[in-house]
Amino acid sequence: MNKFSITEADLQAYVDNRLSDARRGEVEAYLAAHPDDARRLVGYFHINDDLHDHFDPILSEKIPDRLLACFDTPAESAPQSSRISFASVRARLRDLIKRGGRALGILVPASPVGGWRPASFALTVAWLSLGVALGWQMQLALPHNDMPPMVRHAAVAYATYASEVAHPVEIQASNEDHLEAWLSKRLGMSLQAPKLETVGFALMGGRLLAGTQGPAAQFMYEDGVGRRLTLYVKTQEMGHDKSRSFEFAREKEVNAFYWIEDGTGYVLSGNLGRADLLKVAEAAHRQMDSLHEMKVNPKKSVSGRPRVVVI
Amino acid sequence: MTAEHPIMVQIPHLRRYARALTRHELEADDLVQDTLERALRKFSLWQQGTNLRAWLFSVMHNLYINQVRSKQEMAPLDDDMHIPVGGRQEEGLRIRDLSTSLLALPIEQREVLLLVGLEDFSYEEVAQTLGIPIGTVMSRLSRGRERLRGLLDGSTKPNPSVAI
Repeated sequence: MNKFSITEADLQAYVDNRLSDARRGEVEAYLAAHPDDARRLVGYFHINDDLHDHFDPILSEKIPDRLLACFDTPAESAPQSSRISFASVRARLRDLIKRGGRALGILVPASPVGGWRPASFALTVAWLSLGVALGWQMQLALPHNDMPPMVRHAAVAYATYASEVAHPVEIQASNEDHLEAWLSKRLGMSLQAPKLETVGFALMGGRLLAGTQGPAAQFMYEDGVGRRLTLYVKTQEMGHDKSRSFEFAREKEVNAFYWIEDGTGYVLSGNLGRADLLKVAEAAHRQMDSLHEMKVNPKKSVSGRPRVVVI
Repeated sequence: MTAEHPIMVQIPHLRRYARALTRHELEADDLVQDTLERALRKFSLWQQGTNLRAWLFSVMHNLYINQVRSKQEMAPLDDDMHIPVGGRQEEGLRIRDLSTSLLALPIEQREVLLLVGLEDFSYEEVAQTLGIPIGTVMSRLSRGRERLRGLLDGSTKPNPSVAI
């Protein structure tokens, strides 16, 4: 290990979780031997958290009409598609992780700014392990191959909410009509939760997921032994093929099948084995597909069994 | 469904950043409005496939810097410049409030600190947005954080306003 090659830029990148695993380990070893720097970084972690605590509520404020009015007389038309940047995906994920982490008690909550001091080295270590935990979480956000960003978004949303005890869903299945009407309105498409009882899963309810690239819907299902699945639906899944056949993805412990139908993306995620999940995914796909075909082309027959591609 | 303009979904983020940058809600939304108007006018200059968010924040950055400059009658804009913290800067007052402390940072440090810490921009995106080398991003980030930490824990006093 080359302790003396740790630079100030490494320390900043450590705070922002931008280091490779190997480099992070080296920085941690360095910090263990340099308590002054460790204390300083604790302050920086705190600043990042505090910024979010302070300013994140603005994200959910109603947008003033005068700002929306800027779009009333568009000087130029919007493009057909736009690439989703990794940074915006990461921003979405961070919001999700932060919210989910709080619910799960992963993240250290904010403490008051003024007068806060690290009480002991143990506390410093706790903060540093927070960095490690965050780093692990952020691996979910690292881009690889051509998987649509929605898959990771869906997987993180699954990890966040499926383990939630008190509020796994925003609207219960007992209020299914309202749930579907509300999500349909927010997504701007007619949306129905597929019936998955035949494959052993009952609808629990759903929620709206926020994203910088527009809203997404999440339906949650549970089977008799408490295993949970989510079906994530997002319109205008841009930057990729308009339609894409069934594909399998795996994020840590979460398996997922996803497909894109005329620009609408679907991701079924769960802690199920691949074969079990495939059965459910096929059932969901069949129903969404037939609904879609009926709307778009009532005469055309429903397409056949989806192709499974391993990535 | 009417297709939303891709810029529209960025409004909450532009508002959050502008609020942290200026602290005042009206001033911040004015800045967002100026940014949206300019960005919509110049949308053809954004190259599809490149980072829309970085482009938008870059538009906002340029507008903001121009505003600050015109308010300061073209005072030189460099890392040693500080902007006032309003009427609350009584002598010896320890400023603990985050948004007030942010305003005590030089604009250049504040922008970098917010883009990284609040908006989760990568360092490369910050460099692209602000039009500065990545080494400058890192040094501003480091100095900005250390200064803010000092302000927040009371060990650093905000500098008196310089040449404003």
